[in-house]
Amino acid sequence: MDLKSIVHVCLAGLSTGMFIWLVASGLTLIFGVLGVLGVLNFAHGSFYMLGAYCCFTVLSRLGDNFWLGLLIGPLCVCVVGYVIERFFLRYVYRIELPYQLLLTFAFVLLFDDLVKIIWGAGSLGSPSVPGLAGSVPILGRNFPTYSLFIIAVGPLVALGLWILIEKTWYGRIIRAASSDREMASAIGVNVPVLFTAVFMFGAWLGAMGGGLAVPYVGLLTPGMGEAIIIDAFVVAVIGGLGSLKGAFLGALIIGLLSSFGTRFIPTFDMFLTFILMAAVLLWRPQGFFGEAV
Amino acid sequence: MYRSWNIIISVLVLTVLILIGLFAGRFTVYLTSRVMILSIFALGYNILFGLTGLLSFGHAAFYAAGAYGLGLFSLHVSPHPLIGILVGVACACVLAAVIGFFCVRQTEIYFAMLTLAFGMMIFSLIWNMRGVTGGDDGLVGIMRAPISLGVVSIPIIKPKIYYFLVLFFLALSVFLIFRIRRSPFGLVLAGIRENDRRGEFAGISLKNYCRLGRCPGHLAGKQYDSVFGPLEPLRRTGAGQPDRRHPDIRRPACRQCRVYRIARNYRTLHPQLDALVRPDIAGHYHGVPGRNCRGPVRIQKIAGKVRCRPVIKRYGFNLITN
Repeated sequence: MDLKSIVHVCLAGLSTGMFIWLVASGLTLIFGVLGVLGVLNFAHGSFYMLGAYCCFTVLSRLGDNFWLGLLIGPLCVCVVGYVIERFFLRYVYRIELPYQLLLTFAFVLLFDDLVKIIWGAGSLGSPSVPGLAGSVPILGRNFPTYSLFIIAVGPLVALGLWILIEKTWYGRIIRAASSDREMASAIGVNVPVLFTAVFMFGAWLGAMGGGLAVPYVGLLTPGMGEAIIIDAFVVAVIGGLGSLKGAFLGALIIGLLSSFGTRFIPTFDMFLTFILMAAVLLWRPQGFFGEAV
Repeated sequence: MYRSWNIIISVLVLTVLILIGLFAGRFTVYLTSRVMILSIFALGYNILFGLTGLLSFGHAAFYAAGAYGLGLFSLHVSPHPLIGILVGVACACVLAAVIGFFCVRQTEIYFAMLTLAFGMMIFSLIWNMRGVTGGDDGLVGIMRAPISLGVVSIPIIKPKIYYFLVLFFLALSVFLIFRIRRSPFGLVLAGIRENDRRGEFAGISLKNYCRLGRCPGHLAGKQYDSVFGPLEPLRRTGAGQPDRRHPDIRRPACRQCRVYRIARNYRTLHPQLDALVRPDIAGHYHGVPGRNCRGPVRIQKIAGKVRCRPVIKRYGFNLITN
């Protein structure tokens, strides 16, 4: 095991981590903002999947332009998010958490089959991105250019979210509403509209992750949403449910852990991740950055 | 009256199931077997979620434990189905005891996340340990050996005979669960769902009961593999997600403190409120939690002084500054 290998394993871990972060950010945002205990949105993986499929359709219909697909695809998923929040989730905020989760889980099943009906149950091969295809030599070995691009995009998204939440007027309102719904509405915030907007934004983030995944994972399959939502949950739990900072660091930890795990103990790479998750839940259930309940 | 209806419906359902087994075609028999096996699984899940209100994500791990327990036992030790079923159920119970030991330490959403973590651990082990479980190829070569009971031997390789085996276990499970629900133990489980705190006051060891709640339903996994041949590790965690009512968590007993806390954090949002809720006033109304400050309050300015009054309205927070 020389330095070169370690650098490459690190880079692979970073790109995996950033990729999970793109999905987990929307999940964490929705959990952190909606309601006192939040909505743990199972359907987020479906947003990711729908985002990927929509991007694929747009870019294959409109002359193989990846960036156009990335622009339009997630906006379509935003509309789906609007429908879910406005016509379904809004009516279950006041009832118990299990029923909210079962509702979002129902959407997972629904979207899985919807994707099979619309796009077929087989896999779709994805195109490469002009300019980001191929690989670049790093320390004498090739590393995919697109993975480097993902590594760059992740922190940018994190920075953008931080500025939005901490530095803008909208962010301040979001924080206020998440802290106390009734109080926020008492001082004139239209909370239902705000929740819808946040949910749509979360859906957009998830779909964006899906769109960026199109060239990264290479194949689009109807089950891709469920695979990523488990990882996103792990990341959200490790970092602390509702904490964006925690989700970012959690994603880095999980990415590196899984890439080193795959390199050294391939039999137990997934196992390690879930051991870590269980340990965090038992030792510090609010995660590294979550507030104690 | 209620009881007699129960008996009539049970007898009717049983009759229909037996008639299907006797006279229906191959496909119907196969499909109904599958439905019944999944019913056993759902009955077990219902003990945990329906009765105690604990939402588990890792329930399919027990299903897998039962199925792989039987599969491995019949491949390596003895192909006798009944012993295999017992071994499978024992495996699932041991796994439930281990997982339950850890999971009941957390409640609410964390319980669900813990069960998810353990369920995925089992999944990843089964998926990756190709030498033992066959990984994603599944465990192949499990025989449906005849059940030999000394003098008679029942060839469960025939779909119709197998159907009646499944039906027998379904009826057994239903009966057991019926007894459990009516027993003091079942009432305790329902008590956990309704109000766990109160249950604890009544002297119930919550943790032990939560743990026990997972053990009984898990006859289900055992039969699956015999129907479908190779095991499918892909069937993983089942339904939705965690949690239960926790009346006091996150809800300060003293509403007044909350008003103050929120207002301090977001002071700049509303200057009027900022002026209204000052630390000294909040301190003034910081009474004995739960006695004089519980429930919504109305902030009013009466004769130039800010006053907090409890209000009857349930969900409103009225801010009146006149």
